[in-house]
Amino acid sequence: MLPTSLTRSLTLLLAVGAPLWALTDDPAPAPVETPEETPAPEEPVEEEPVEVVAPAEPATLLRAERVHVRPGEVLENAEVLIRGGFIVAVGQGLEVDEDTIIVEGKEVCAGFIDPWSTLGIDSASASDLGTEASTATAKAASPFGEKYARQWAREAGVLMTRTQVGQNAFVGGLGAILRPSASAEHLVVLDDANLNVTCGVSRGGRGDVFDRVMEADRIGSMISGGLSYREAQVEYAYELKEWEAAIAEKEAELEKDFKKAKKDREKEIEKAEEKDKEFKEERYKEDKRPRTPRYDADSEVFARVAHGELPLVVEAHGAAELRALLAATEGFGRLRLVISGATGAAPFAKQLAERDIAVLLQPLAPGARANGERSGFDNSLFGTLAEAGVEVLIGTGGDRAADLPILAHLAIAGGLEREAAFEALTLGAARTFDLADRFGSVEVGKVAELLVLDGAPLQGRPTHVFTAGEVVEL
Amino acid sequence: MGISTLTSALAGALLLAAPAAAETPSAEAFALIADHVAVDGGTVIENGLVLVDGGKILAVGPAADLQGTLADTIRVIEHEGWLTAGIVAANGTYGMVSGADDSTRAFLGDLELRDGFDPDDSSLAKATGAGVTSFGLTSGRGNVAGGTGAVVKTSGGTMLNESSHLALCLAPPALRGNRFPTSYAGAVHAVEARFTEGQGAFGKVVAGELGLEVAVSARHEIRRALDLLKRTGLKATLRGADRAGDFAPELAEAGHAVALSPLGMGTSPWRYESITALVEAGVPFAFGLADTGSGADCLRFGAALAAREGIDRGALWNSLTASPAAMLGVSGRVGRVAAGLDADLVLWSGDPLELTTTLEAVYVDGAQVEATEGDAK
Amino acid sequence: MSDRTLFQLGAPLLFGALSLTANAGEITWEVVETAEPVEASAPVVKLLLSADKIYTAAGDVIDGGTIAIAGSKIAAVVPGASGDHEGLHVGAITPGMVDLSPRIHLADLSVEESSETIPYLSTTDGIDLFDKRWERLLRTGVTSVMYTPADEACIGGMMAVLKTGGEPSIEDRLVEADVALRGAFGSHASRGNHPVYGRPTDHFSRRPTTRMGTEWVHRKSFYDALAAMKNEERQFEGWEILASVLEGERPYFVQASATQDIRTAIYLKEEVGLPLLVVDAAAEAWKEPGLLVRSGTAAVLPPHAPQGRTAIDNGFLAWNTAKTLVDLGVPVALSSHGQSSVTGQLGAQAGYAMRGGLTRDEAIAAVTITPARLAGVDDRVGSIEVGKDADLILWSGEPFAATSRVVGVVLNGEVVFTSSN
Repeated sequence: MLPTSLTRSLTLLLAVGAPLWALTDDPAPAPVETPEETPAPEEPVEEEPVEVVAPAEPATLLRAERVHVRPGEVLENAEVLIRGGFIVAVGQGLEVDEDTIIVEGKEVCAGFIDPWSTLGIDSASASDLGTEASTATAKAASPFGEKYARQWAREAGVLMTRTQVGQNAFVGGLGAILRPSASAEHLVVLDDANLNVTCGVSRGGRGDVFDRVMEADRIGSMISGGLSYREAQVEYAYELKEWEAAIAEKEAELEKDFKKAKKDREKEIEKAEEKDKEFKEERYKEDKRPRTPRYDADSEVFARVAHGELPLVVEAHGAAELRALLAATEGFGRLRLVISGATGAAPFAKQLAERDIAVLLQPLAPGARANGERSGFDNSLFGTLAEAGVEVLIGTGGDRAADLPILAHLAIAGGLEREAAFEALTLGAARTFDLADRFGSVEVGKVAELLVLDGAPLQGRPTHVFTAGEVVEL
Repeated sequence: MGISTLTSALAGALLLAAPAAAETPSAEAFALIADHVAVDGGTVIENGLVLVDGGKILAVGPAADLQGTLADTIRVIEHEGWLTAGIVAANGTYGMVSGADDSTRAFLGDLELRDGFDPDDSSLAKATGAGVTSFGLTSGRGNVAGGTGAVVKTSGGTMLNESSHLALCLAPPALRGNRFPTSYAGAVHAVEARFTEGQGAFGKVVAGELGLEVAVSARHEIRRALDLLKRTGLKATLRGADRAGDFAPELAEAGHAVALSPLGMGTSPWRYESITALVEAGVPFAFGLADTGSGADCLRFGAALAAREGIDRGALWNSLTASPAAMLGVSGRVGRVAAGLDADLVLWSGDPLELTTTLEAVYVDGAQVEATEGDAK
Repeated sequence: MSDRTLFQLGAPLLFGALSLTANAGEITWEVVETAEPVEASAPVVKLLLSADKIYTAAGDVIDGGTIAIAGSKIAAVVPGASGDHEGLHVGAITPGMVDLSPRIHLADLSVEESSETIPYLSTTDGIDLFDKRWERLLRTGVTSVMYTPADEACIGGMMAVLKTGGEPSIEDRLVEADVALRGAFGSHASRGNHPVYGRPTDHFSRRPTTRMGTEWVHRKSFYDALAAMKNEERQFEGWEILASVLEGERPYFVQASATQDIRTAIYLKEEVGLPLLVVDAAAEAWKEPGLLVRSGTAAVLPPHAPQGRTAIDNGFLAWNTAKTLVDLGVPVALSSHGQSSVTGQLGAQAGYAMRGGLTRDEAIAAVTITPARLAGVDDRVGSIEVGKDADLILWSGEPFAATSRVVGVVLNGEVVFTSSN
């Protein structure tokens, strides 16, 4: 409960003539017992979504010639034991119960994650230009529609997508990690995967270079605004604490000298009456409560971004925008920046690597034309960036998540190492979007979002997928 | 790729038997040695050698057998990866700078498409850069009879055949509201009448002097075209008949071929099923570029996607090379890596039916063309 | 009828490959091994169907009878034997329906509009047999149709009768080609046309713009044909088809819905002498039925519509139209006119016609043998008679009653649809 103003509480007490101690001394006039206070509705705690835990159902054992534990680590002739939707053991000759379901396959790896997708939301939400920082993709997510796109995604081994509303909006809002699931229950994996903004992309016409560069500056100011907002919040919390202490002190003091204070006050009133003046209550300096900073959901999101609690995905293409963006974001030490699109990123490879900025690219399929800001995109950018040590992610950029393995091949053709492409689709994407504690590799304790393939990851076709707590044969 | 990889001894015996190998190479001759030489979809020579002279392939065989027979003076280019024949697009309208349709009349069978072809058009170089070295020059879909097509090389614009086929279209773009015919029945009636009359290009088709291409799309259009061809006793290449798999046995029996539109990202599963049916029935099929806005690099990409779907790799490689060459009547010139054929060759970083493979060099008529796959975009 | 037992077919009767049983209207069957090889020439009965009632549409209704099917044909129709054989037993059997106006076509692409008279074109050259609507027709019991293009030309080409099932090719489905010539009066034939002003930009700028113009095109065409019949020099493309219609070799099916258009059609018939005229979509034929009687014209009725107004020129179809015409002796066929809704289907029209006064037998005839006869294919389809195609509808109860449903459809001797699949 917030402490009431000192003056007001004193005034009330004195006015009704009820001494403060009366309440303690005389138990007779029991104050109306207010029903036990219901705790104020708590702020919804950002809990990790509860994973589906299969009730004491039989465990599943995946047995394969090769288990890709994590990128670069392969176990030959190994097994993966899954119980209650979690990986409980990885190794050889694991003990199994009689009722353990055994799935045999050639290779086992983590499910693929499409980090740039519109699958799971309607096209109007995906192309919404009126989104704000706090607009949440998870609220637009629906397990209906695009039945085949979802099915094909699962069949291609893409078990999660980082889906984004307001793809082309200046500020697109919070991205979500969704499953291409057919059920509402298992749809949302994470509802605040990132904040998405764009810098200089066409929104019904592309601005000139100054407009585009200015957007980079605006992004900088918004992050900065997030910082100030957070600062103000922290400062307020501190001041509030101080003030509360001061109030408590003063209250104690007043209580101690209550008789004197009462007398003094009565005297003051008399004096005022004599002089035919209005009596003025004494104001205490402690009455000045620190001002509550105005809560703002959008600033809150930017504050989280500025403090690295959420990754910031910025779609930017031209060299001018990229340069401006890199400059505008340089001062924010905790910012976790991911640049998507990045058509003209080649000259900035070294800088991107130094600043640990991940780049999310959408490979260009042969025959397709790269239009607008993407014109000039070449798959060789994958090689250029990877060589410079930039972490590269691969996304589809639309609702065709099933294409992800094919796009990964194009990235490889563009110079990305096969292993790096595999990582981009699994642990790399998981790490970037704060999923790595639960997904992205085949390790004990992680959630079983796995593929059983008939060949090497990317190359082979999934024969089974283990998703949302159950194994599905394809 | 290869269904069968010939042992070097066998391949040597087979391929060196070609008369061309007996000829003495000139001073300009050079040899290309690659880890894999795909003679066609069915045969791949490991560590193969291709001897090129005067723009032609002089000899093909295992390097172990051939290298010893070559003079020391012959330049040898070694390549890590695959060497294949240049890709042949079953159809295309590249170089038709003033349009591939003359929409003034529905029937323009005697119009020669070669007359509208600009060999210097920049789209041709892009096609070469994607490894497409020849294509069937054809009309758009705007006329019931769009003209007489040709077979052209993408580099230099060499005509492999100046009058190769009559291009017909029995689909809506050719049926327009402002002229005859506006309907399928009208188009069929008029086409059949022309074949019966046997004048001009139609007559040449009946006489077997000219090939026949019929552009269709929907299944009922394929059905209609097949009925028309049956009545007229003609064989044709069905262009754009992506649903042809539903008619595969009938197509095989009648001896028709199919020029499909390219596969690409987001291709529906039925297209792969349709191609599988064609492969199983033994219907010759190829991919064309005339009905797509995509670049020429979509041909190999589409075939690689199909390979990924489990479709026979040999048949797919033939669909990019030997089959369209045969459909266009130029298999004596292009479509395979064989002695006596034009030295239109492509060097790849790996198996060209792998998505991760890139193009490294293109030779047309034995001369390297300055192009890389990157230029194709 | 006692001598027509199943064993007098002149061949051993074998239950070929199928054994069917009916259980509460659901049909199941299992494969039964044939005991002995059968002589190749012998008509092997592969299917026996019995019913409480068989409406043959050939003049009699058999109370409790059995139909034997050999190959694609009806091998025998005998009374009795109901339920005492291994075959299938249902409530009732009627012939498969024949729809003379199914209207499954490719809209504008189905009719040549560059000319107003195109008798020489085969309408089936514009057909799409891959259309899902064919199967829908089959499942509702329509086994044969006369293929109809869109009525956007005055004289619109030759029509064929096709089966609704089988391989999607004309070759497989054709019952008979060139059975009738197609034409149209009313507003459709001139719809969208306008006088030539300036440079003609499309076919709409030269065809008739009014009903009188449409009629003029018809008269001119038939008079030209009459002239061509007498004078070789005046022959033109398709004249012989018009001549065959004038000589009564094949009927002229013409769309005319409103009274004025039906009048026009009949005036034309009487003026130039068209022995066989069938008015399609004849919604308002009930207004002046005497004209049809006088001229010996047959009518194909469109489906009933809400408030009676049909989609063709707003023609008003009365409930008792079929009854009125049938009572006067006018051959009447019902049609779906492309309606696939529950209320628009051909089967429903038979039910409505009964509500309008037709007896069940008359209603069945109006969707089976009468349309087959008008199309000249009654030797193949339209009734249950020995030697005809085994195209049958199996009903759970009285055919076309609201409480009955189609439990199976037999096409060319094959059970192509049952309610259980």
